[in-house]
Amino acid sequence: MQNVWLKTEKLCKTFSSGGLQQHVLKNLDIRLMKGDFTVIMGSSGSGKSTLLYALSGMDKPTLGTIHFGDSEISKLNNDKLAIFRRNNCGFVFQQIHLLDNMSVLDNVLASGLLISRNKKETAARAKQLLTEVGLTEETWRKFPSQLSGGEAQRAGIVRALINKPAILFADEPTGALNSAASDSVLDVLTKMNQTGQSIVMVTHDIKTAMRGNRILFLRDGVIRGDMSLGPYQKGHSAERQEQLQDFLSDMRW
Amino acid sequence: MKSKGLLVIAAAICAAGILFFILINKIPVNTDVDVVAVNEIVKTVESHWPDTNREDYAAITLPFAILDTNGNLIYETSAGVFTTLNNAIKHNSTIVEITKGGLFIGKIIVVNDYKQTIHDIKHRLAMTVGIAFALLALLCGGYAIWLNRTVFKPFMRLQSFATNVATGNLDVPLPMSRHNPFGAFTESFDLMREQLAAARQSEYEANRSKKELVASLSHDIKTPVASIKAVIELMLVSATDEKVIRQLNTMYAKADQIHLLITDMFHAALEEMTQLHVTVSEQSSSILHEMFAKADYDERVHCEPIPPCLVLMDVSRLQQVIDNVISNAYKYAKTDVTVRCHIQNDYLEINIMDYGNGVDQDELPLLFNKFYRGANAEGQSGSGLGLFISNYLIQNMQGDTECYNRSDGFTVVLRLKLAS
Amino acid sequence: MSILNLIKANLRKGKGTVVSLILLIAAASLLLNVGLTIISSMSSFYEHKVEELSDPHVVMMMEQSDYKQENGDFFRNYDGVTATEVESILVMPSATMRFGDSDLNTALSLLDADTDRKLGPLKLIEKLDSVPDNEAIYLPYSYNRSGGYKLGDSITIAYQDKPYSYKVAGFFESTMLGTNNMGLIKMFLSGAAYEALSAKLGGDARGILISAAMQDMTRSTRILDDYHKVYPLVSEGATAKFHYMADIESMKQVNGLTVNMIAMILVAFAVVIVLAALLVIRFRVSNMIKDSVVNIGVLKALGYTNRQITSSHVGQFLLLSLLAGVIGVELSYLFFPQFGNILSTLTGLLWEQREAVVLNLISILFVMISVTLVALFTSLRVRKLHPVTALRGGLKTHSFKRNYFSLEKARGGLQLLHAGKSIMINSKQNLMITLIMIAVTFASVFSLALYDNIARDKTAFIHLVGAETSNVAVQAKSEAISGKLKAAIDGMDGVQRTAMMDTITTMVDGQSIFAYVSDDFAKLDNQMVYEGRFPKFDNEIAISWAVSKLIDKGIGDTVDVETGGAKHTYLVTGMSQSISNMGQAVYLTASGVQHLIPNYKGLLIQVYLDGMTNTQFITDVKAKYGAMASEVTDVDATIDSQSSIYSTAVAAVMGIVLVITVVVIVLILFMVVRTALLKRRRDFGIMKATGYTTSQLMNQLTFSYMPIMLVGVMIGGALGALCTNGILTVLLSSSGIHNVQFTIKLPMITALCIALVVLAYAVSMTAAYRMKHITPHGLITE
Repeated sequence: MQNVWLKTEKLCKTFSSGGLQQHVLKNLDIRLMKGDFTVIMGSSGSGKSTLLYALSGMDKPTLGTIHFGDSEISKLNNDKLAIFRRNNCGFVFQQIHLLDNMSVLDNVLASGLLISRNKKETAARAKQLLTEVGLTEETWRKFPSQLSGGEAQRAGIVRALINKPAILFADEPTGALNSAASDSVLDVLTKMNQTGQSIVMVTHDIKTAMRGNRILFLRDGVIRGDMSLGPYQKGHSAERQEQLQDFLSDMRW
Repeated sequence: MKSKGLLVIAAAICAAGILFFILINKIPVNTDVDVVAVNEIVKTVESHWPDTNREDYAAITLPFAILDTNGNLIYETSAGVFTTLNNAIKHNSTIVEITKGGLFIGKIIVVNDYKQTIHDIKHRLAMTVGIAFALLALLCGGYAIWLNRTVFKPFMRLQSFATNVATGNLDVPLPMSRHNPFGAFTESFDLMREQLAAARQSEYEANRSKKELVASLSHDIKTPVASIKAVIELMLVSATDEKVIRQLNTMYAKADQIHLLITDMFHAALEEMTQLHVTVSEQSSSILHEMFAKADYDERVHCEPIPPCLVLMDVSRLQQVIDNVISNAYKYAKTDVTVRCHIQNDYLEINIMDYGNGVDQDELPLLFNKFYRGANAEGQSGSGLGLFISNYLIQNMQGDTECYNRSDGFTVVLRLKLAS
Repeated sequence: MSILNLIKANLRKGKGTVVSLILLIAAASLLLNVGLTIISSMSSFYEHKVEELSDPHVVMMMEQSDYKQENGDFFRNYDGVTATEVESILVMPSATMRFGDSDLNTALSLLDADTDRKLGPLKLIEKLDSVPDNEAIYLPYSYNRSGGYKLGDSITIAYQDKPYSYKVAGFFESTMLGTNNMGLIKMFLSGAAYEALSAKLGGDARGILISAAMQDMTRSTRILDDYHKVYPLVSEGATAKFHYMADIESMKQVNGLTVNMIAMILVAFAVVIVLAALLVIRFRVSNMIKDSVVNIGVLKALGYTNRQITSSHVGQFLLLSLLAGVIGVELSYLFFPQFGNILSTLTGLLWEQREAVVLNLISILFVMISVTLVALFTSLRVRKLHPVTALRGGLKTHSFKRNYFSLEKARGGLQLLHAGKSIMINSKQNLMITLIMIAVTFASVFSLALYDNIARDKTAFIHLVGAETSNVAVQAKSEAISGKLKAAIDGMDGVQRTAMMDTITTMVDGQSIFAYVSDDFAKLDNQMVYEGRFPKFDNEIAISWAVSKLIDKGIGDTVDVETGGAKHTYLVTGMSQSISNMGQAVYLTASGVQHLIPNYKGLLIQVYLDGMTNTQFITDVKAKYGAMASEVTDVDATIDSQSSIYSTAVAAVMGIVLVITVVVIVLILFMVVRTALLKRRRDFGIMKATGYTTSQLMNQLTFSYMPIMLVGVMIGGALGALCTNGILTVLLSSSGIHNVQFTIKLPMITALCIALVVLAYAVSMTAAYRMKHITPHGLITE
């Protein structure tokens, strides 16, 4: 029996502009399990990014509740949410969003030192993680503008992981990368998942989605499908891809 | 870019030199005799004459000697002061006469120490020149080191880099120093290397993705083709006579058409009668509070918390329904009304409960009928259409209505579909 | 045509920016116009007033018994004199009355208001007709501005221990003898009151007033010198009998000095603010242009020429600055009454703002040209851009940056390190802020020091003017008994020390100059000699800096001094400074004067009290030695009343400067912080996403400005503390001051600086509160 990390009830998100209301998320009841690599799929405009940001406490839902463990994060104010995020969530963005006025290492530490008071320990962990994702010591000292996309995104993942988050949220992490860089980033995510890291990832790319072991398909703000896959292994990709494509064609992808 | 900095440094050195020179020149060189001090000596000596106590001259810093009218030494501040007039004249010393009551009583010799001043000036000049040259030498040395570090060494590195590229080894990056004045220059070399490597990589990628596309397209086309095939097969199996098949098809289509036309006709008539046009939209359940408040003209409705969710409704039609149900409760039960909502499956269930006598059990199924009025409706105004229309409206919002008796009253249930 | 369209589009885009830019430019042109108007009107203010009021250029008063026909004829026949008038007046050589919060002791001349006169006619500003004729008095306007009198108030003049009460029937304006810092004040009595007082006082009080107007008023000093050459002042006459003279030049000098000083400070401050505003404008303009780089790219791609694009940008700022300049100049007219008030307080004269179209145009043009130039230079950089580069949004060039304040290695809190990093990005902007902070802090410190020294602890200022800050002055009845009186007072209880301090008129190397005589200069409070020393012996003399320049003599030289026909040579031992008498003064020892006036002893005894109030001492002296003393004056009270006009004026200046300083700090910080919030929205969004709270980010942003504010304030404060005296010296050098020694109170300056920093912190925190509206959500939508 798997533990539930995150639970939403009747989660709704409405954007209103100029008196016009647009319901992006509608009455979502979602449970995310510990250790899962959950992939949220959907075409653009289906509300998948909105869902991700609502789940991660970046944005407040319009209606409904979100429980993280025992705490109800949908009730927190902005500052409490920020503290919740730094303690429990890690983020990887499509546009990577590293702070470009500081080195890679400092980017990681800017997150890490929010929690830890121990500079040495945090720096050591940061360096270890950076090495794990395949960034050499030379790249730590570089500025984001000097990195390739893949390197930058891997640094972004390290930043997200530095605080040992309960869940890693990734919003189209490969969206801005070429396919080689995508693979390197996805390999890192898979590796992290295999060591027990829960991941929630949004994508509209099938190849990327294959890495997950649970696929949620979102259309018009509603979960249309929920499929489980076996754990990802290299080499079994053809079969897995077929399975996924069948699911998606059922969903009229 | 960097030459600007160099020019600035040169200008700064030049300016500093000029400033230094001006400052040196500005230092006053005073070889004049301090007349005021001499006057003070004379006045003090005159006022104390003929006593020459050392304490009287404590405030005077200049060395001097006092001679009487015969040229004999009476007093000197320290030994070695020129005590003869001749000596004093030879060394530029100042000689002043002392008078008292108009009588000449002696002479004072005040030593003029201009030699020391000249010596000081020489010393200062030598120091200045020394410091200036030392600074210049330091600067030149520093510049040479800087030049070597920032210009020559990077060029050396560029050489080995070029060798690597030439041999086809594109993975060795060009090390770039942060303070390198040729930063952009060396970076473009490195960019060139990266571009070369990237070009090689993308050529490989393009070949691979072409193969992938062909594979996935062939798989996708399989599925729809299969279902089309299946229908055709089914039709082929059941068809015996070609004419029969065509006639059956026509008949089926016409019957279907008739059914649609009748349904349309019925709905059109009903809409005309009650103007029931329902436009469903997704709304937050929180607006229900407001709607009950609007219907509650006796202020006897207690609305319990409504679970937040998104439901399908037509706001104005639902208001009409709620108005109807609440007014019924007021009209027939004449009690308080409790509204209780909860989410059941895919529906938001709104229980509107009064505490009256309820409806006869036999009448319950008929309540939603057209023009039906219950036994307790006598003496009350009404058409018997209210609940029928409410039911119709709710059903058009993909919802459902229901009512039942409780031991302590009567309940109307409105079920609204959750948006999905 | 198409350019106009572009301008319109540009302006419509950033309304908030445009509004703040207009505010800044308006502020600059406002201050510029105020400064220019003050300078231009100050230079000729006195001359205009003298002409307007047809006041005399030279006045001389003497007792009626001393007056001979030839005295008047001297003026009538003097070359260049255009008009002369001789009239009889009443004179009170030492009268006491209330002025402001203290008693004022001064010489009074009372004129008959009903007499017609061509020179210095009675010109009333305010008037009350209901006052009965037999008690009506007309006072100078300064009695209203700083003396606290109003129409219908009664004024009591104590003269020779008898009170004379009158009712104020009006205030008049006069450039001559209208303020209490010339030693003599002119008042008018109505005909009936004049007759009554004249009868009461008897013949001793009758005086003669000779007034003369000249073709060239700058020669007014000369005529008095020449007069003294013909009619030398005998020393007995100079001290024992009433004799007063004044010329318009020294009048102007005394009154104009403070006015000029304050005007100069205001102008200097205006210049500082204008420069600050220009810096900010430059920053703003280049930001605006950089922000529209993409637009420029689009326009270039569409085929607009560089000329069209540049002229649209420049034209936009031209229009803006024209509009803002006009607004600023219009607003400046609100400031002028304020300045007129200060001026009236100082001079007792009304200042009327004249329409100065030329000056207004100059202000507007200056601002317009500066802004346009800035815009032009910034646009020139855009010219070189290729449309493609512009479309990609960048004037950015690749640069290797150093990883300042490494989070791994540097010590300090996380927010502080972040702040440190962002300081390093904006070095140019930081330099600008620092410069502005230095300027405004300096101005504040300067004005505070001025206020402290002129309005609160006046000693340094009084010494600068050249007055002696003793507590009480006692005038002996005759020279024969002055020595005895001094010894007697020395023996009294509560007397710390006494010193003789007198003035006589002398000719020094042919120049008519006041000489201060004391038996022991070391005992005086006011050590005016800044180089060398006061004279100690009978053949020594100290001369003021102005005299030294006039006769080209320095320390160690000898000068010839003559008075009353005798002549003696003295050795110069020191150089002094003072503002009074255009800075011209010499200092002689009492024994030295005896070479010229053999019987000289001195009359005026300065008394320094210790543990005794002035009033108590005055009663004691009058009771014990009343027979020997002809006059006992409360010096403290006199100084207080005389300097009250300066206090109010300086307080007003300080107020203005401080208010503007605060406004500048608030404006600049708001602008800078808001710009940073806009520009770094993405960074803050990222940090919020990773879990930084609003307050952490607010502090981060604020701390990134605090160090530069701190540095600016510290440098400004230090400059203020170190350079205030130097700058004052330069400002006052034309009036005979060579070395200002105002006390600079470090705790007070420190407090001011701390207050400024706290203000800066509060303002930037307030401005940074908008951080609240930055959400990580913004990252998705962008």
